[in-house]
Amino acid sequence: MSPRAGPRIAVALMVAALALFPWTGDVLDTRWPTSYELRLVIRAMILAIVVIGLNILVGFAGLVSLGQAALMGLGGHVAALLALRADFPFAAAMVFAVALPAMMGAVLAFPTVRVRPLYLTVITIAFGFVFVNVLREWVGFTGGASGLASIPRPTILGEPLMAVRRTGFNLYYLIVLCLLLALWVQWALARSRYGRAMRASSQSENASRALGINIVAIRTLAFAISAGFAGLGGGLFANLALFINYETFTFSASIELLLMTILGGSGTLAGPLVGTTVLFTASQALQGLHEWQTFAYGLLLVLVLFLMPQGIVGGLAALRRRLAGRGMAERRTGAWPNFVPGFDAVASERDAAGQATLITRDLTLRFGGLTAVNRVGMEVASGTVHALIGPNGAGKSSVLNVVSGFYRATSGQVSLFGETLAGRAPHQLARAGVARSFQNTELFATMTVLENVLVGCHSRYRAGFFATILRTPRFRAEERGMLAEARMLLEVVGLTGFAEEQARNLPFGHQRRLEIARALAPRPKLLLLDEPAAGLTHGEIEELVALIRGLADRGMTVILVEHHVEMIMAVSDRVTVLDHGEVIADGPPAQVQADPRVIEAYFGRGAAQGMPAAAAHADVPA
Amino acid sequence: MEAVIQYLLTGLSVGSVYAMMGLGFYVMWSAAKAVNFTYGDIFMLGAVLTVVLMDIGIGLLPAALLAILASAAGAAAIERGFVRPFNREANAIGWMLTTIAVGTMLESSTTALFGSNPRMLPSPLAQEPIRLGGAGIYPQELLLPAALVVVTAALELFYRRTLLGRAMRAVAYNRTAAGLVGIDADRITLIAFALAGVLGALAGVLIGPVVQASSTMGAIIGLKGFMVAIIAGIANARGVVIAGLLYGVTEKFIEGYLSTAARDAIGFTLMVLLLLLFPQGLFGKKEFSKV
Amino acid sequence: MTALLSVEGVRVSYGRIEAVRGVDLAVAPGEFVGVIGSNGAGKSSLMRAIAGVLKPAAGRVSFDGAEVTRLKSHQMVAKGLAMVPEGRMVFADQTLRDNLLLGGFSRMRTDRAGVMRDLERVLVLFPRLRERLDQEAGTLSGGEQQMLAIARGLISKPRLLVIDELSLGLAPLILDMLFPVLSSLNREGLSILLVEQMASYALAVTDRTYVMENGRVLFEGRSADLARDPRVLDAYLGRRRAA
Repeated sequence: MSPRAGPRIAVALMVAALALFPWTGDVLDTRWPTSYELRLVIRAMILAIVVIGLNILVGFAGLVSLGQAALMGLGGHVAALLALRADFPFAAAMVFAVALPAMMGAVLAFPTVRVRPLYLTVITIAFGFVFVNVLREWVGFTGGASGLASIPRPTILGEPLMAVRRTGFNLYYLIVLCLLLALWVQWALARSRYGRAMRASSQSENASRALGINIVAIRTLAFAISAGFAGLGGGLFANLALFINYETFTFSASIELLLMTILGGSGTLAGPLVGTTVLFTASQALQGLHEWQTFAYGLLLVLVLFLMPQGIVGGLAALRRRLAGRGMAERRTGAWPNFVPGFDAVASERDAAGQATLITRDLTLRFGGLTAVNRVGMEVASGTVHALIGPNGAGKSSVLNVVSGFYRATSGQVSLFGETLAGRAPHQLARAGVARSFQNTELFATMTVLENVLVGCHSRYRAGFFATILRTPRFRAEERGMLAEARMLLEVVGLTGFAEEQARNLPFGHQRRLEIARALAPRPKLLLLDEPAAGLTHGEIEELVALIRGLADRGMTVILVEHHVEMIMAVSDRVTVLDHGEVIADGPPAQVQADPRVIEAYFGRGAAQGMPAAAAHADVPA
Repeated sequence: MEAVIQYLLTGLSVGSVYAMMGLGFYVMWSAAKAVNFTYGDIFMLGAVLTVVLMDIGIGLLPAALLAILASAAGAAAIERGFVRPFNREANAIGWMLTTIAVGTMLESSTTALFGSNPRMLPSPLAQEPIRLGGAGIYPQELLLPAALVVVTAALELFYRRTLLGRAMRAVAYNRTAAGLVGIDADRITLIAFALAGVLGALAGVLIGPVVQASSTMGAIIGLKGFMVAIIAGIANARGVVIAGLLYGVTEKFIEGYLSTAARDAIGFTLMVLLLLLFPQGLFGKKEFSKV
Repeated sequence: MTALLSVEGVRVSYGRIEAVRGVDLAVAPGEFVGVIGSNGAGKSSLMRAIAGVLKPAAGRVSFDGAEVTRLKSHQMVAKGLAMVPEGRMVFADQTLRDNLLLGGFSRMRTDRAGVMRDLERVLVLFPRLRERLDQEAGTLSGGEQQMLAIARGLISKPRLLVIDELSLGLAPLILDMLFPVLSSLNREGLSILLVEQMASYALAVTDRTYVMENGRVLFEGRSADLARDPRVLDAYLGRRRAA
């Protein structure tokens, strides 16, 4: 049985069960389900749609909204008001019921996710309170506490929508369709660059930006989608009940939605369904508790967070992984670098030979009073390996961070690929052809090895959002191409056997390999490596050297910040030495190694005399 | 003119509450880079417990004092039990969810035990309004800005002049370095939450006689306090006080010239706009993130 | 003579990354011990494990005859081990005086007079700090911050002072001033464990030195001997070892 079969069978069974449910009574010759039970199932499905949206926000993008019920209410009121006051047909009203909350979501997200994701949560709570307040006070428009009653019954093509036998339960099936649609979007998103970018941005902001992901945009998108689903749920709710008021959409309703998401297992595809079903069933039982019901929700949320933070589905998946992992054979690690045919394409975007890929002039960077980089001028020729070395705190990483856009230079010029770099953001530079690794490897820990590399392909996709969600043939062809290239890159670094493993479970040396494969995925022109050899064994370093040389030989420009002098000597075409933020030497490796100023910077004063002659560099293998 | 003075006075009064709540958020955030998300419930506990203690025959002042101490203990317990275990990694959000859950439990159990109707918190200063330049105001409301001045000054003195206060700043600045000079950063964080608890409960006790005590009185006030702190740039105490007062006064003018219904909608919209224009807050500095 | 500090088989990991792979090290009372090695050798991680900033994944740390492996940094200070961390970590938003008083945090309640006495003592040691007592520490130069960090460490009245990367970012002129101060503190009986990447300085002032590479102690010996050992230079400039 293929590993995909399980979920497929589950989906088929669910669809069959939902399709047959209204007719169960006829089949089994009972009076069950009554219209009451049918309505309960419909309400649960509507909640599930909203929870799926919330799952995209919480589970994928790592953001929390506590105004989800209000966004749902917004959708419901838009649908109700358009039908009541403007005679909008059902379908048109529903379009607005989805679009307006989605736009509201974007408006709330954009200002807040720039600084701290936490702020989004605060703003969503505020939105929820204001929403309920406005509805309560603006009696003329919303009916206040008595709400909006006698919403016209929805119709499609003149056919009234009702969940009764006479209409063939058409409203019920419409909502089933919407639920399946929501599940499809969630699934398509999870298996696309958008979903991967959302998860990546929640796991490492820096690595995401370095791979060309616009964090603010992707988070805003996540919240807009999530708000759109809330609106859809709300619109359906209004058309089911034909009555709506603010009491359904309070803060505690938002908490209930969040609890469903977390209980089911945020970030999993089945979690929203499981969480909604379990909690909705439980809430029917808890209704007798009156004011203690909210207390019970709070208690339940605390218990879930303490006892099973991954939720039901997440917890089961972890359990299954552990059981499966026990019997797992040793994974085969491939030799690297393994320059498979087709690898040359990765370096195909190279800068013209003989050009200066990077030029800095008087580059200065100050933090408060501290000058980290002081008037540094360097030139990196295309297709070369250029090492940047110097003692701790010399300013090497700072230079790297300016070149990759993470820091903004205090003064001086930097030009990249012949263009002046003026305050461009990391993701923009990444799209222009700069890739980098990080001193403390920043992998997307809970994503698989293959997904990590695919995130690296993010900026090379051409298919737009809707093509991606609809999985058009063009999109699928593109996705197949990227997948093939990602697998090829894993082959190059010898990690093919680990493709489906979570990145955090890799041994350290493999994590470094993966980070480099991921950095190559955008097909960069310039690769910045920040201490790639730190923590590697001797053998691994030699392999790393071979890889770096292989990249430069294919025309890629590599800047290497490294302490490992032996490696630098073996791999670099040119070396720039920094000390106290200033360039103290620049030249071919052997020349730099013999420079007394360099020896002093590394070793302290008087080193050159008291010690064996450092000038005896002749024994260094080039 | 009288209306303007009226709005100004009541605005400063309610603004003082926001400022005190904002300061509470500042104190917690500085020490832990996390907060009690439902800090409004500590504020509520201050007022509600005072009423409950007075019910069993304790006088106003000792009841208020006991209520504040109990709320502070509760705030500390929330730090120990629900924030610390979920704040081990940078950028963790677990503490947000757990404190929200605890807040929900606090609020609903208070509703169940205390009743859902607001109760009077009798104070001799909230019996007879006095006239000031044509505006009518309870002395109790004037007490709030006065208390804010005292609290702000005391907090400033505490942070600058006492060893514990300096230690709290040290923890805020660099937890590792604080540990290396012998400061138990965990304990200091616990104390910071208790201190924030004192501020929040004090605000609740002081405003209680004006707005009445109820289980739901804290939610919105806590939220506004948090937003005021964010708008100010959460790491700037003076900014928080100014932003709190400004927000209180703005609210009263919106209420006066438009309507109570418009107050929160416009107020929150203003805050979102400010955040759009000043991502780091009005008085905040750009944070420097190490790559 | 029993060691003041003894480290046995200590390992330090960050997730799956092993920075220190089983290190033994000892400091006798009154001794001045250096740890040198290239960047990324695991020196700082070892010091952080000793000072209780992070917990070692394996191994044992004893101080003054008692096991202290699991103690946190503030408890280590109370036991008599103070660390001057890499990068100084002065409290930049507080005055020099407040920084120094915080150095005496663990003693303040029981021995306020002693703290004041020691404050006076460190100001004699570093007169430049006295002129700036009411300035915020963030306004100091790197060298002055390093003096402050050492002075702050001394006020906790340690028996062992651990200094991580004294020379980091400092000009030679400042180092020529700082190292003699350490020597004189050591002569007065203070044990010092110094991590230093500028090997020539460390070898000149310490009694004994450990050379670390790749998370392990490569070799150790009397500093005077090591200063003439070609292997030391190799460890820094990455030259292949002869054999």
